[in-house]
Amino acid sequence: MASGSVEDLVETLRCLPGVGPKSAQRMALHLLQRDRAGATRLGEALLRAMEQVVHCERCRIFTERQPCRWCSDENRHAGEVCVVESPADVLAIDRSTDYRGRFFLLLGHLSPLDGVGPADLGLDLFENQLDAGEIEEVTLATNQTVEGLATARYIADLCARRQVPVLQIARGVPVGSELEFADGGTLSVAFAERSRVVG
Amino acid sequence: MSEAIELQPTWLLHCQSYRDTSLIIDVFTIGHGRVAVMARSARAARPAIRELYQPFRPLLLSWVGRGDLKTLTGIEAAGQPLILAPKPQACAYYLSELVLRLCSKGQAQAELFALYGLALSQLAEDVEIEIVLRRFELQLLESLGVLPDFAHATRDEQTVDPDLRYRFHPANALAVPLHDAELPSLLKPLKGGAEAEGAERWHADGVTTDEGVEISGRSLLALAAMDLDELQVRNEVRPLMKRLLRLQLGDRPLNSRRLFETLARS
Repeated sequence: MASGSVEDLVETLRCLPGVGPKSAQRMALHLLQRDRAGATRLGEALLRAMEQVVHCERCRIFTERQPCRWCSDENRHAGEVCVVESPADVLAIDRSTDYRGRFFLLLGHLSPLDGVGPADLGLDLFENQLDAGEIEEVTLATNQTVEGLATARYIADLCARRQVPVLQIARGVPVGSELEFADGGTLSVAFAERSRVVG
Repeated sequence: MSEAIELQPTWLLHCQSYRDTSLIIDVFTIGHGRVAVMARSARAARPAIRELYQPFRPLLLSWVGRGDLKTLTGIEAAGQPLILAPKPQACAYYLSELVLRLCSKGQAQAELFALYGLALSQLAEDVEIEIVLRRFELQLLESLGVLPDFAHATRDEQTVDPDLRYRFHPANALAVPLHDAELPSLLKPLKGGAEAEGAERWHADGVTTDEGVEISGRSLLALAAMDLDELQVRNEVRPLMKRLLRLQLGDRPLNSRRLFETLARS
């Protein structure tokens, strides 16, 4: 039944994460049978995105123009940089905080066993910016995992060697939760890093 | 029948995301050696559970399954996570990678399991890194059954003379006193043979013949006793251990070494 193009489509859809042969076939048949207009739009959107979306050369976020909208926003303080692992982190921070600096995206974390080293995280670019004096203060907002923390420590070290101040986002008990139900790791960090109440 | 394993003492070696919320974890367990386990919904678990899927923390793991990939049924902490400074942490990753690369799945290695835990806690306590690494490398080779008898590695199996200098040939596990005229004819060629086609690609460093590493008899005896307290011994055995490990690892380089080298430069 299947012609070359159908097989091609099924095979190509498998590049999506979590899509096996069966799901790929279901998607392909759905597009062909029921939503040809949608499929054309999808194809065009994919092509356009692949052609036009690049990494911002300052912060590595996905963007269509250089520098990206975050880096070119004049209301943001260019010397303040928040280091995060993924674009989703940028959106989350922008949505919920009043942070007004720019960002730097690692697009991952140091992962020694997968061969992900500092260069893969764009840290050579980050070092250049430090050396050029473009960065006055760094806020580290990597994930609170062993590897995320190792990455943060590595970056903190890069900054310390150039006497650039480094901050780390606070860790502790989630807002609106009860102490009794906090996990041990979080609670012990919350106590180790308790802060003075002003007033 | 699929086998249900309960509360195995475990170290997590490596984690990999699978689909939206799951993880595939490579673990080192006391009774079943290295095991790959699928942890469904692990990334979406509540924080108290989520924080357990980290390396360098003693765990108790339960799983079921017959195939190569088991299914996780329980995870519990068996102690606090070890706090490691950057360099010791890079070394801890190196130890994990050695276990990942050299221990085969499903083969119990209870002693090596204990030694891995001991090495990690020594790294956390700032014991001299080189001592911890070399000792674990030796123990790992021993548990694989490929550790040469350094003290009696001479041709006539006599004890090595501490005052002589030797050339130790890793693939032949042979220590030849320097200036021994009979040397080249004694050595067996490496796997595939030095003259076999493509043999030059077998070693990453391009060494196809078992050229050997120069070392003192004293250091060989220290290696045999796993006594690495002396700096001079540690400096001398490092290149030899590297060659011995490479024989087991083949020419795919260790990823964790890259990070360590970056840290060492800084």
